[in-house]
Amino acid sequence: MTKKLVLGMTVAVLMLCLVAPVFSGGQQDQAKEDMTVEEINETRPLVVGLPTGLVTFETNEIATKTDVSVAEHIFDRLLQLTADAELAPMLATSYEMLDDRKTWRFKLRDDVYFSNGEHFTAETVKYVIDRGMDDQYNWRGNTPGYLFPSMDLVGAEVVDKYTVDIKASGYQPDLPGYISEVFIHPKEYYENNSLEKVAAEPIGSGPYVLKEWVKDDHATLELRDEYWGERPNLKTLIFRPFPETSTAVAELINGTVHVISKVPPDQAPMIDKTEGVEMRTVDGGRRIYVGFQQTADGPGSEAVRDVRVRRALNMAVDIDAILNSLLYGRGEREGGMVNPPHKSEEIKPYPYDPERAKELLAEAGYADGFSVELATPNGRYTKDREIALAIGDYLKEVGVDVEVIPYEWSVYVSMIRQKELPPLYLLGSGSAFLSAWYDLSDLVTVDAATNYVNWQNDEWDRLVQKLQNTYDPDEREKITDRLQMIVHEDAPWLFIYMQVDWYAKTSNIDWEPRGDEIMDFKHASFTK
Amino acid sequence: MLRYIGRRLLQSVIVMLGVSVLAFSVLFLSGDPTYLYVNERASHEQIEKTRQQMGFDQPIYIQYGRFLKGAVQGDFGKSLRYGQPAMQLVLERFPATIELAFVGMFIAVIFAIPLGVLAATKRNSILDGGTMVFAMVGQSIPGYWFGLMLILIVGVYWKLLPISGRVPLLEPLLRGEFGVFFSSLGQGLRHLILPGIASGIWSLSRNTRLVRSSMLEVLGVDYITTARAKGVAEKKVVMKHAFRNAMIPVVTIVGLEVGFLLSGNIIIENVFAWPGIGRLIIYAINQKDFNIVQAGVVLLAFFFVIINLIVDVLYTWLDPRIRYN
Repeated sequence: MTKKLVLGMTVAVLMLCLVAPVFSGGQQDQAKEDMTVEEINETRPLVVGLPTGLVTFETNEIATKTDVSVAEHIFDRLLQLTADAELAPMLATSYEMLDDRKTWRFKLRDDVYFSNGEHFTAETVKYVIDRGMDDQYNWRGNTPGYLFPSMDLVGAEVVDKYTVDIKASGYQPDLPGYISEVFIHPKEYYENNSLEKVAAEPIGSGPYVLKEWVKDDHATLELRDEYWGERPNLKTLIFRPFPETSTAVAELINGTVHVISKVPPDQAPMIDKTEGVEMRTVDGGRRIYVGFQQTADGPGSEAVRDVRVRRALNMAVDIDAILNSLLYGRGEREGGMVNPPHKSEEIKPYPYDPERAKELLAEAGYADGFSVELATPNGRYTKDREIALAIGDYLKEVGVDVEVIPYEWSVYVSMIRQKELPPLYLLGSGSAFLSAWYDLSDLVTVDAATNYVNWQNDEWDRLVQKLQNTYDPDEREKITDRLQMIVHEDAPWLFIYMQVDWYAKTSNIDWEPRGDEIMDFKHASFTK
Repeated sequence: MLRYIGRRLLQSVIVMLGVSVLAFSVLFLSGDPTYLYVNERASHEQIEKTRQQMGFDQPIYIQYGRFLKGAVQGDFGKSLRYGQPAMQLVLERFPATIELAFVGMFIAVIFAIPLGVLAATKRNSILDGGTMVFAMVGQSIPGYWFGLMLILIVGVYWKLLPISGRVPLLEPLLRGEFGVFFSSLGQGLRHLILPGIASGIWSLSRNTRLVRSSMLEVLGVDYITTARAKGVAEKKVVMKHAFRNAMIPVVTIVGLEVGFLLSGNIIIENVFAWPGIGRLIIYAINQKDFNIVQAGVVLLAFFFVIINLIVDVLYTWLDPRIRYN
């Protein structure tokens, strides 16, 4: 009997082990030596590892950069923001502001067809705007939830077949920039199909079509036969979500995944030392800061309402040391909320000066310090919890007893939206490198949805009013420079840095990441 | 027997009603659920309108009644994020979870029984010692770490098996596409081996110990001594007299394990990027996509109840002395 049992187990073990070699067939990149780059691009799919699963292709529900990165290849936009943060034509050939300073006229291409054969016209643009603004849908995506309100959109009017006017309620010089984030979809298909269907089977005018989507497993995109624009190099793109980064790194090293994002900085040295794979970092636009909530209750809430305390806390933290130790020196300390392309030259980071910080705290009546809570998300931004803990330690050195409380993002996002944050909270605010005002508008009014600190400043309010009626670019720049300085001096935030985004790729792919967290492979190519 | 099954079914209905109350309550855990259905810039009027549209302004018992009516029909509403029926999304993930659960249980049972029996019949031998060390280590290793080690050694260093992802097997089989099934069988099995081992190792270790201790207990009772005294062959003593009686606690545990594995192993699914039900439910919890959570919880509870019923019925086959009167 014993022999039979041992035999049975041995057979079972062998069966399991043998399955591998029997069905083996490596998935690694194995191009024939005589294949040209063009042939490789045609035959080998590019596999991209995503940090989270795709949720939807409904353009009005898209709310994450992951979804945008995939949709980017299926849909076109009227204008596009280049990797150098310049606005360039896409479906629109030109645009201009009309004399009323509220209306923007867009001239459209006449040779664009969606992948289902529908023709792109001014009616399409009007439909996209109308559908996004239609309250009956209760959209929760970025386009109707953020972009449209940000540009105070009134609506769109068809001028002729290839000309459309997009109207705002007031002067909106950033409107073309906001419009460059809106995906264009065909009218007939979206009118005649259910929301469920269009969310899962998108139709766009972009260079790729969605061939297959198995949720939480993969989405496969393939090049269209006919595309109005420049044809990308790669025929097939496969997007795969990896909830566990270590697994994505292992796939990358194996060559079965070619690009991954959100690489933990700790793994960067190992990846750099591994043959066949490379790290890529890029200065992103996301402002990482600790907000001083002005209407919070509880310990420390009174203290952070005093500007001297807010400045003191900015001086009490050695941000450079934190960036050096946690992010291998990537990233630079910031002193304001505007990204480098539009940052005022006057804005310098607060110096690390704990002695001056103690003096300021004493002047404010907090010579013995105070207690306060610092809330932080756990894993939403690069090393967010660790950065918060380090800030907490620095603040303790000037007498502020900080209790750092990490939250899961789902809980945290509710606290943000309902403005139930403690006096100190860590957050990252996105940006699109469009203009200084785009970045500053987070704090536009005290009750703005994005003004999570509930900060209010009289001079700021006056200047914001003035800005809305100022049309001269030089004059506007002067105002926005002053607004930047007000934010710096009144310090509603403890300014940390503009987030650096960490990617890794195999050496056989020619691709560079963008600073806006969108992974664009329209110009990528295999090299071998 | 039929009366017993009827009684158990009635109990199951009560359990499911309890589960439905819990699942319904989930929606209200984070305060007013209306805010989940509007964007962050929604006006007061929009919020009020949505509250009325969703029926959140009605008394709680009416809302529960509506939920229960939908649940009985498998209608849990649409997912907030995916915009598709919540139950459909849960069912889409189910084949992946069933495949993984099957392979995990296969490994946990097919190896545990012979190992446990051998260890018990060869008590205090090297084989027994080795088996117990293996079982102890298997239960002590965190699944997360073990999964990563499998990936590193088998996937990265040896390049023997795929590291992550899934090739569907059950779906083509259910659709009757046998050609597709057989053509993807090889790749499908290759993708299943590492997550299968990682998800089955803990159960394998526990079951091995359980079979061994259960066998040892039975092998020491009087009727085994009597059987041996009567000259019954050792093989028959072990397999017929001891083994079958030793299986009762094992079946109970295995039944529960099947239930747990079917509920999706979130750690293993995450490590191996396996698109199963556990990952979906955790994602839904994180995104406060409560319709999916409700559909998932109710469906999994249903499976638990059914499996427990099957286990109870199996007892009578294993031990005819058990009567359900």
